[in-house]
Amino acid sequence: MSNNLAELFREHGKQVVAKHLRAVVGQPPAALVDGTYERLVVGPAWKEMPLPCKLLGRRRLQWDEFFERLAAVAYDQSGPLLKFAPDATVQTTAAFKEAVARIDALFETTERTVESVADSSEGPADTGRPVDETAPDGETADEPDTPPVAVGIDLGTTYSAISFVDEQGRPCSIENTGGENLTPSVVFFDDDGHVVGREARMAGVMDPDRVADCAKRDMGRPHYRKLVAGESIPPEVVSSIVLRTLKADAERKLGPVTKVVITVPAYFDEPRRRATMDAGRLAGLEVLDIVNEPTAAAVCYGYESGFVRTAASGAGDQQRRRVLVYDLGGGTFDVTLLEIQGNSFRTLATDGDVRLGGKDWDERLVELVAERFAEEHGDDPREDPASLQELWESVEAAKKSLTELKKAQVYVNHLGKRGRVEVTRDEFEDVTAPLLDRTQHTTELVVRQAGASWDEIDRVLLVGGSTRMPMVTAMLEELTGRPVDRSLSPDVSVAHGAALYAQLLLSRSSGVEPSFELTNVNSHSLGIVGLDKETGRKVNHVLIPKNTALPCTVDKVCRTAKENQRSVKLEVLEGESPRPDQCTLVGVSSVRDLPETLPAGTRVHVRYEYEANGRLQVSAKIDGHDERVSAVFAREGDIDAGEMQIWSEYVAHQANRDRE
Amino acid sequence: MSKFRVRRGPDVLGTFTDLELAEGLASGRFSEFDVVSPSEEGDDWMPMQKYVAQLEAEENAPPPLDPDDEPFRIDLG
Repeated sequence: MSNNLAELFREHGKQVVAKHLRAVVGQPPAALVDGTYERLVVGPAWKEMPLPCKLLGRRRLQWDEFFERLAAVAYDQSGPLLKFAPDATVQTTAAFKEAVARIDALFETTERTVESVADSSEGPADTGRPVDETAPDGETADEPDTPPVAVGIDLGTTYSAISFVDEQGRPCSIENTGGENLTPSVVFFDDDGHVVGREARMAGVMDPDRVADCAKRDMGRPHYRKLVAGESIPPEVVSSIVLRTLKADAERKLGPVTKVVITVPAYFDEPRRRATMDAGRLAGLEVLDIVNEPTAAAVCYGYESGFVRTAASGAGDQQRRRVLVYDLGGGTFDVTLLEIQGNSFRTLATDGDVRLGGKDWDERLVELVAERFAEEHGDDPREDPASLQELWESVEAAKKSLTELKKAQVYVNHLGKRGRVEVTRDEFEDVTAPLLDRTQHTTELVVRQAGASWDEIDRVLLVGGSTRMPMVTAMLEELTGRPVDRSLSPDVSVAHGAALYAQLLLSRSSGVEPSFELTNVNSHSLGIVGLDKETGRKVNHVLIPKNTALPCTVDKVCRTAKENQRSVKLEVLEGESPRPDQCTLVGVSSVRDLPETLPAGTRVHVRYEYEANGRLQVSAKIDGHDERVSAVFAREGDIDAGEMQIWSEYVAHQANRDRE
Repeated sequence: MSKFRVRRGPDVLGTFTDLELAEGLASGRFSEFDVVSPSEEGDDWMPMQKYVAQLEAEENAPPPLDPDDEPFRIDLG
């Protein structure tokens, strides 16, 4: 029997392995045993292996044993941080020989085994180039097919934007096929494929059961809020289709694009951040990082104001500035106080509301107009899905008109009856005043939480299309006692900042000194469920308080409750309430495989690491024991690996059909 | 060794071991859009990708929780 599988493993595997081995370079040697290696290298590399290898299975291919061998031979572990061993290439090639031989042995073909070893002995010159270039002196290099640019995407509730950094270091927007910088985050599920953007919105007016919009509001939940074309679809999948369209727009201009930074509201919790990264992966993108939208806007502001030193623009300004970013988008609201000094962007405090945005202003106007129409005509357009969808479109247009005009007309078309409802700006501001008040209270809270006063704030930046409403400017100027700064484009500044950050990450991986630094905080307190000794009730025991600078690590000691206990379960929460039922359950960390015969009261150290981008990792060890214990973090509402594969293929398959 | 049936459209291509199936995919004899049944008879056909996803899910499934798992007691002071 021929052994194409062994050849596929060798050829494809070398590229995949070389790419992923460098993920732990620069980490402490403990990363090879504490779960980091598995999480950053072994697992992701397996996901990229071709289907025939996956069919045989990770166990049959002895994938984990293969990577244990690589961990032992590819790295120099003698220093404080991992780097490639001088002979990493030779050792990796030898490990591949052994792995290919094992595959050949499965097929029991002795002659093929000899040929495979001879082929492998040619060395990595032809296929192992990434390992060649990274090993000898620790430098990193681009893979042969790595595009030279990474993009930044503002994945908005109602509109999305994509940007890149040009050769002069300037962030630039990428237009969609309609010539616009903003693409509606709307997907229409046709029988033949997907339609995204303005056309999807128009098609949705006629067939609202096939359209999905504002999926960002459902991120972190297992399903989008309604059936779409009769199917229950995860919100990550809807967002991934939008991301794929943006990716295609970028590739028309730039060529192949795989690396991206995606922005999220600063107030997004861990499950929503994870879902956003999953959406990127489903779209076929390598998500370099996720970054908070206000931070991205501040980076853009820093660049346009000349604070940020880029390769093209020279040295930056060292003055310390405090900038308040008020970000009111289509579906989410964040307010963040940052301190910018030179090239350093440090978040001091953040807060927000993941379900407050321009769509809520639209909703109030829909209610107002529908009631007036019903009074006049006797029929309520909200009772018919197509009429309601069309009404939402008309209301959004009227809302935008009221930015410039004192009154606007809303045209209503319902069951053959047509009408025109006039709305004044004063009426609009009256019905939406409670929404604006919520943003004001949150803004005041953030300044208090940062321990700052209004005098210490140098700039108030507006981000998000909804900040165009005059009521927002009026409220903020009265609150802060200063004019707001409108120098940033409310539509594309977040995407531009994300592109600058993406370029920084690319440059960093190539050994170039970063042109700026970001320090974020956690927007929600992290806690675990414990038992109050006095009352016996479950309580939220906060481990990492909100607004703690990230990354942050906390160790919590727990004790086994009984003799010979083999596992411990801890529920992880995000939220401020002492009541667990009023917090978000992020997941359950289960520490297992505890050694036998442990006495009751044995100390188990559980470590929680909050990464800079707000993602959480859990690991554990036992006092006085060298054995590894597994700490499994089962997240609520996750797409599991199997579903991820299915949806990934679905999105890719549909994208191919869209291109035909 | 597991046995699989492979079907392309209405045509059953045969019964193969898992090694033969993997090798056939690698060589191009089979397509990832072919349909497989992980048994020698019955109607449990599924797309190739779905079978692989199922296999991965089984491999990645965490061990079942010990029914005696205890929430640990912590000092709140």
